[in-house]
Order: sequence, then structure tokens, then C-alpha cells
Amino acid sequence: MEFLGGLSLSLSQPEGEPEPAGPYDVQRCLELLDGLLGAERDRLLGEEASSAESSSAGSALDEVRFMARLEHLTDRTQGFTPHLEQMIDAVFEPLRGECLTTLGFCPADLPRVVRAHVSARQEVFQGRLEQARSIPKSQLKGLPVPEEWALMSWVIFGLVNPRGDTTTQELAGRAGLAERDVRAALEALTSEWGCQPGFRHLGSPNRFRRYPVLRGTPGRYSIPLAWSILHEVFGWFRDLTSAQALEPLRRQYHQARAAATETLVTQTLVEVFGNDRVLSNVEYPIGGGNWAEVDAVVRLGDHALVVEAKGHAISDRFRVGDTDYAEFHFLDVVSKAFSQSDRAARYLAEGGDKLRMKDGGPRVEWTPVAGTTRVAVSFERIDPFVLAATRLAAEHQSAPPTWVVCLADLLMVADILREPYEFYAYAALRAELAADPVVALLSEADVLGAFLNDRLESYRRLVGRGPTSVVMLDHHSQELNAYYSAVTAGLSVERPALRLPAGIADSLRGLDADSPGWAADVRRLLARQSNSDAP
Amino acid sequence: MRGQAAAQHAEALVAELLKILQRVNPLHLVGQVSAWATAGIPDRDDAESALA
Repeated sequence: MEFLGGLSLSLSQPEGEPEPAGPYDVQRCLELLDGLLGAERDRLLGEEASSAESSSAGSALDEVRFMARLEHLTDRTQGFTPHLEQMIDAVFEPLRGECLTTLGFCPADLPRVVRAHVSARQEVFQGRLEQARSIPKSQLKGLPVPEEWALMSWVIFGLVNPRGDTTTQELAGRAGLAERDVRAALEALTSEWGCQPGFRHLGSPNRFRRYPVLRGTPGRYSIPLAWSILHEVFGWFRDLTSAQALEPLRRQYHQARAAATETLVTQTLVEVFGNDRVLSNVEYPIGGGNWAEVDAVVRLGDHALVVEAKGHAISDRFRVGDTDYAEFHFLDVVSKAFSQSDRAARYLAEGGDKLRMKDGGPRVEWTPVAGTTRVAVSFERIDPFVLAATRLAAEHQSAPPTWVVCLADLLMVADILREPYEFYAYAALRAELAADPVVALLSEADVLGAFLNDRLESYRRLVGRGPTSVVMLDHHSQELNAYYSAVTAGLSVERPALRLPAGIADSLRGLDADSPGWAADVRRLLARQSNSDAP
Repeated sequence: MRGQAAAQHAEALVAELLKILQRVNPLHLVGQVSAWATAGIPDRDDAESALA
């Protein structure tokens, strides 16, 4: 979809009254876009195959770069809307004063603008749908196309205003914001017609991706992919402050991102495990009178979760497959988090107990633990790295198994798995899969969906039975997609839950998470319930 | 289809998209295409369930 928007921006502003787009034009565009994605994927596969024949390609970094290029072809999805909104609020609300002074609006308000627009469009859609349903069937007899398609085409034809769908006045009224703020925001998100005359390729930089507001007749705008504003807001803000040379605001933004990452990670862990079990920004001795910091530690009896959070930005050069940037980001985001969490985890697992709060703060009471589970959280989505993290870590001689997860996905996991035993069991399983990637994973929502079903046991039972030692995880995110779509629409729906036989959840809840052996007991109980052959 | 053939096919598809965009109101076209896609109604067959 973003490609079509980008292609339209290669043209100058429509003059006069161009003819409206008919239903056959729309259907043909959908077919062409589908075909284009397939052709571009084929082209990339061909390029990779040639490059593998002519060089020593085939390293994990090559795999990461290839996955990034594939990902770049499709519209960007950074996470589910409720979690993106949490992140936007955590980053931009502290910058409200600076943003209002410098830009005339605060990006923390963008979710309200987007929701206002979507709800207005939804009302028009529902209205036309009702009208369509009331048309007598007899009036549709004899059409050369299926009736339902004709009706839906009629609904959507009238849903879109060829002069622009909205105005700043309408959005401001619905969002409860000042019109001047909404105007400033829309103008900062608008792409001008003709701004990318040479844009022709699916993988090329596309301004429409981060500036998805189109200009209509004077005073009117169209925002065909309104939610994409929330998915791209962080990259957009970085671009905007660079383009306008707003260096102080850009610096403050990066500091705010880093702070928000740590704050949201800690808050999330506290919500699941309780305040008493979570320690944030703790220091431990590393010899020679020096101390190192770990972002968060969760005490679970004689086990600990060791969590490192990275707020760094991922370059667009990486997203389009630049090898140097792939290596840079691996070292900066993944490897550093691996080695930092490994050092802290090793200290704790070896019985270390000299912990203190940040900056030489007060001593923390700590009982030595027997084992740890490592988690590395990235502010931005880094799926290509997650997929190949273990292989990459081995090639770079980095640290042992770590669950690498982006912040939006961590928020999702903690939103669904709210019991300490659920979250711990999932984190331990993810770290285990990183150590022994018998199940190849492409998306955290698919993994979580499969975990809710049967803790991935049906997949693990397949390992070693086929021609390969790795089983590809199928799509399991439908339930989560439906749940978050409903939540985003403001509907009250039941949250997806871990499916356990009656009584088992009670037994797990009955375990004391502060007692030695809790972590082992949780995994033992869950394994027994998921495998009938188990003792 | 690989490499060069895929690239040529992609080029032809883009050329046809461009022709449509040049002929009709692009705001109206982009808006409708995204509405079909985001409403989760990718083709004619699915329109029936949406109207049910």
C-alpha cells in the first residue's frame, strides 16, 4: 500500500477535476500490487542466489541483511497499537514543552489525531454499509458482477472524498485538540505532490512511508493509511528534526527514547512480578574497584531474570540491506546487550551478592541465585536480528542464549502473560530456543500464539522426525491480531490466555515465587502438563 | 521467475499502475485501494461476508 502512495507522489498535483477511480481501477491496482510484491521477492531471491554463488556469502549477517531487505518491501508494522501508544506517550510526553515551542505540536497527541480520523472514517463506512444493506435485492438483479462486490465497491467509492477526506477543523473537534496544533502536525506529516519524481521501485526510499498525509483541495487532507503514522512516528521524528536542523530537540529525543525504554521495561516487569522482586539500574563489581550496571534484575527465588534494554535507533541503511550497517547494528544493539547481560548473569549465577543501586547508591540485599535467564530488549523492532541472533552470537563469539525482543513485543507478552509463572516460563523457553533454535521464528506474536496453545510442544515433538533439524513456526497470531484489533476499536473482549488444564493454573499460582526451586517447579509442572509421556 | 525476468515483470506492473494513477484522481484511487486492504476485504469473494 505504501508503494502506491509513493508512486502517486511521483506525479504533480492533479489539475482540474480528474475522473474518479472506478471499482475496476481499484481491483486492478490491488492485483498489480500483489503481483509486484511477488516479482520483487523473486528478484531479491535471484540476487541473493547469484551473490551466494560468486562470493563467500552465507554468513548469519548475510541472512540478517536479506531478511531486512525482504521486510523493507512490505508496509512497516512496529507492533500492536495499544503498545505503540504507550511507547509514544513515554517518549514524547516528557518533551511536550520543547515540542510545542519548536514544532507547534506534540507528537504525544498523534494517537488522538489518528483515532479521531479513523473513527470519522468508520462512521462514514458504517453509514454507507447500512444504506447498501437496505437496497432491495431486486434492484441488483442482472448485474454482470457479483452483487456483494458491487455493493462493497459502492460503499468504498463513496467513502473516499476525491477532494480530501478531512480538515484540521474536523480532526481538532473530534480529538479535543487546538486546531492550530492539528494543522501544525498534519503539515509536518504531509508529502507534497511531485516530491519524488523518480520513485519507481518497491525497495526504494519512499517519503510516503513517514509522511503519509496527502494534500487535497485547499484546506483538505487525505490520510489513507492513518495508523502508519503511529508505526513510523519514531523514524519520522528523527527525520524531521534532522531535516529542520533541530539539533537540541533531536538530542533530547534520543535521551527520551533511552529513558523511556528503561522506564517501560521496569514498569512492565513490576506489573508482572511485583515491585519487591524487580530491581532497576543495579550495579555489581567487575574487579579492580570498578562496577558495571545492569538495567533490571528480577528475583525469583533462587533464579533471576537479567534484562538489558537498548533505546538505540536502527538506521534506514540497515533496513535496505546495507552490510556495514547490519554489522554495526549487530555490534551496537545485539552483541553489546548480549555481552552486558552475560557478564551480569555470570556474576549472579556464580553466587555474586554485592549489589548496589546506581551511581554508588545504597547496598541491595541479595541472596545468591543458582541460575539466570537473559533478556535483551530493543526499543525498535529488529526481527531480522531476532531470527538470526543465536547464529550471529556464535559467529561473533558473543554471549550465550538470550531472548532478544523489541519493546512493543515485550509489552504484548506482559499484557497477555500476566502471572509471574507464565511470563517466566515464556522467557525461559525463548532463551532456550535461542540456544537451540529447533523452531525457526519470524514473529514474536506467532511464538506467543503457539505458546498459548500448547507451549510449542507440538512443534518440539516434530524436531528430528523430518529431513531437517529445524521446524518452521507457522502463523499463530490470529487470536492476538483479532484481540488487539478489537481493543484498538474500543471493544470489550476477552483477553487471550494460556490454555492449561483446570487445576494446573491453581497449582502454579500456589507456588511461592520467592522460594528456592520456584523456577524449576514452574517448568516441571508445565512440561508435565504438556507432554503425556512425561513422568 | 528469477533475477532479470522478475525485474522486467516488476517494471511492467509499475508502468501499468502509473498509467492508472495518471488517468484517475490519485487521492480517490489511493484512498479506495487502502480502504479495501485495511477493511480486510482483499477481493470480490470476501465482499460477501463483509456485507452479511
